Amino acid sequence: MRFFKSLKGRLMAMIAIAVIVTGSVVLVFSYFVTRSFFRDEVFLSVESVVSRTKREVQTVVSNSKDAAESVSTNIQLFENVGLYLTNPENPEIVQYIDGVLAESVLKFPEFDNIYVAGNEGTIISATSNPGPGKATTGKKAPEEALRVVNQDRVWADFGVEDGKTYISMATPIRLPDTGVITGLTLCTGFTPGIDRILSDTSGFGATGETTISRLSGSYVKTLLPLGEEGNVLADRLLYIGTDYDLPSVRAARGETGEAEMDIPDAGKEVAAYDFLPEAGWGVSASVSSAEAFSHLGRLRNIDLAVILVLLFGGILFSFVVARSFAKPIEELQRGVKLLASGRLNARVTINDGLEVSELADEFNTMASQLDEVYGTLENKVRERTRELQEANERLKELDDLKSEFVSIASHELRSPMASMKMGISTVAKELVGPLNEEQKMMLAIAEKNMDRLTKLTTDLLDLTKIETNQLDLDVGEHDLIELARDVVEANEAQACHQGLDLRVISPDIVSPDGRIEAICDYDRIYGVLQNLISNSLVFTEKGSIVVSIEKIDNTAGICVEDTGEGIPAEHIPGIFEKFSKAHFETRSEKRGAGLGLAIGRGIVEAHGGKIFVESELGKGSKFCFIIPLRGKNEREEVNTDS
Amino acid sequence: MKEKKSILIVDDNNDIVTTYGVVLERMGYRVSVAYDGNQCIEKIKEDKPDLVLLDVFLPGLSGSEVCRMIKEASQTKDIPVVAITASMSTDTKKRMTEVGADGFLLKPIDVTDLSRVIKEFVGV
Repeated sequence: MRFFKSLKGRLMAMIAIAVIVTGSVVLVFSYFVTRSFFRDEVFLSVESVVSRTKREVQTVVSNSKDAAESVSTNIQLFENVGLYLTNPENPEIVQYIDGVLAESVLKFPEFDNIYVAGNEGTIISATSNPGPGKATTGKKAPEEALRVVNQDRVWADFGVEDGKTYISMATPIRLPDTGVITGLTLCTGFTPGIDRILSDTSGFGATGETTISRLSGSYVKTLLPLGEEGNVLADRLLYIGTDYDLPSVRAARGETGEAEMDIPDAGKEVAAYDFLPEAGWGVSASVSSAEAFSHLGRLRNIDLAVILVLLFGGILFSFVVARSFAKPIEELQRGVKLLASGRLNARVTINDGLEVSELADEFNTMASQLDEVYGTLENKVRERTRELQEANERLKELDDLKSEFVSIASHELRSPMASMKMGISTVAKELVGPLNEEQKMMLAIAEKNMDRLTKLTTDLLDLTKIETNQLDLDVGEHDLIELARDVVEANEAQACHQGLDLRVISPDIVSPDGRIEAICDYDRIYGVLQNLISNSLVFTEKGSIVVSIEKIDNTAGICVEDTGEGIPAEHIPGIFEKFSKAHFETRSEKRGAGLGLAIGRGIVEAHGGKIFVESELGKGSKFCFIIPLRGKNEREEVNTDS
Repeated sequence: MKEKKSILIVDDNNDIVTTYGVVLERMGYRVSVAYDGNQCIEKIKEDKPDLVLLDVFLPGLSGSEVCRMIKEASQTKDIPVVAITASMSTDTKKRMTEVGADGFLLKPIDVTDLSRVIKEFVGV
């Protein structure tokens, strides 16, 4: 069903229906028109056979009748029969009549035998030639013939002997113009003409049958034609009850017309019938409907066959036509789909010369333009990307160069500083002579700034290493609690001097042996913690600085919490960047190099850890860092834990 | 005896203030000190100096703002201002020139340079 929802399917269905319906309607219509004409034609042909037969039979009968009347219309015969009726014992009269008959037979060869009967019916004289119509004197002539003849009419009969048809013609013996009838003559002779007529089935089917019939008492006497190829029928005469509705019965009753009749034991037949009044005979012709209409049947079969051909041909035709219409559209659709899926080289080739091919040309133009635009765009993107990459690489090179420069510069700075430090410290300690107070003060300032410069140089070098990923960690297993205690111990004097409470909270519950072992670079972690404590010492006026250590799962956390001035909230983000904003907002004498926290973060991260800060202005700050106990490879866990 | 010429040193670094102070006093000038811009403006109002040695890099009011304030006020605009900077970038120099700085000194400052610049603006 999905097929019929497609363009091709619908087109096909439409065309097929149009072709098949139109064709079928035309064929059925033509069939019925033809049938109607054909039926008329069949009836007409049967009718023409009947009228032809009638005409021919009429001629034969008429000839016989003329001959028979010539025999009977004989004044001597009339008188002698009259005499015989009054004096039947006179042999001369009979002899005379015998002579007339012998003469007549010779004169009319169409008759084989003739006999004469008196008007009361007794046969007076008869010939006895071979053939039909032999009679015996003294016997009675047929009653029917006698009655008809006595009414001054001719009685015509037919019969069959040796399979051949004969006609008997009874005519009155009378005196002309008087109406007196003394007897009758009955002439009988084979009439091959009748058989020829009945056998002539030209223009008629094989089942065609022509008959002659006449009423005889309560029966209809019917003469059937000779069988096919001259075969003699056993009995060519039939006596049919008048109540049967057959063409021969209708004809014998004097009806004229044609009809399709239902014949018992024979089926339908097309029949025509007519009547010869001068003989009282009916002529009928009939042919089986099956044969008569066999052409019509064949026509119907041909029509059905054509309809079948139309059905398949229509479907095939519609398929071909629908395909020829749908194919370019499908092709176009395929192209559009391809294009839509990003295949910009999609083109369609349609050469039907119709609108679709124009559409296809338009599509191709569009696709080409799209392709071109995309191509240009892609080239531009590629170009820009390459430029960006190049710029990026140059930046990286520059950055590397800068780092290298700083590294070298830091090293180069150390040598002159070493001799300056040596010179200043030697003079300041009065090893080369006594100094006055002013000289001592100036040298102390110089030495202090010298130390700061040295520290700055060292920090710069460390930061460079961190930024260029060149920081080498000298890792080993160290107890972080011990480390924290070492740092605190080193700063105790300064804290004491400032009146601050500096201590370590190392919760023994964390570890049974009071140790938190971590794989780390001792000096670097020491440096980070030292930096945090130094910062706290600088920014804390009074109160305490507490270093706490905790073990959380596989990580260790170290915090430095002070009661100092705290950090403004806006400075907290980015506080671990080098030279952060917080650095520049700090008073000069409290200001360090501005690199400590950045270096701290670099070292902690190099250990796979994290550093962070919480602070409230005026209340203090809490800097914490956590590192994995088993080294950097456990960094992931640290991240998820935090 | 002729009154000593006075010089105002503006810097937030105590070491610098101390050492410059010692040197300038030895050279025979009267020295006053300001640790930031606001202090500087106050000191000038109290006692008008003959020269201001102004560090460009100051907490709070920046050196250029302080310089502009000095040069905009009619009572103080004739005081020569020598800007002391750590970086002699054209940007810094341009900005300071715009606000009216009279001279420049680049850190670190040699005692010879210091005395030469001071003599140029103040005399001995």
